[in-house]
Amino acid sequence: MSTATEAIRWHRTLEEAQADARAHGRPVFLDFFSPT
Amino acid sequence: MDTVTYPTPAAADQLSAFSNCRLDSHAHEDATRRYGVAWTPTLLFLDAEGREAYRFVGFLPPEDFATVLAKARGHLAATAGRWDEAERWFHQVTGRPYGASALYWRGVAQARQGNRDGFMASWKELLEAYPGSPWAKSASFLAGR
Repeated sequence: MSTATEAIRWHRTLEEAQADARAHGRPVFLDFFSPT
Repeated sequence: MDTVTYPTPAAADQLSAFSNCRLDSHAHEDATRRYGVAWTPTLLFLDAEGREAYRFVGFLPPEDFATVLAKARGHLAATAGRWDEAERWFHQVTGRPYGASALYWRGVAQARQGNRDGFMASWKELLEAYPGSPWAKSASFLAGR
């Protein structure tokens, strides 16, 4: 089973995600996870 | 999430409406503390300035993903004062386990738009469909009207 989520574009930092959200007028989805 | 829910085409499609970020809670202690993350996964729905509108704590299976995202988008719209949009999102959330809260919030969105009849209808539907739920108890002052 794939552990990657290639179809979803993930930003490396929250700041990058927020900048992208501002540029495109959309909200931010932020997933806090623990590595397994 | 990354082995079960995110690989599904539906999840990818639904998340295309967001700017997405995953943070290792151990490697990003400042952000973890700032958002009060006590358990993982914690899924936060933020506006572009980082203000939280909704959160979901715990594993979210593929079959519930679209429902929770619709509810989150309702709360994002409500937080921004876009009550007509919020009403539309909450209207999409039906059935257990999220239907009760969505009916409650749909009523709130209607009330905030001055739609008293819609508000009353939503909360009466809540009382009838989900009696005994915490959301129905919060709306119970309408029961005698």
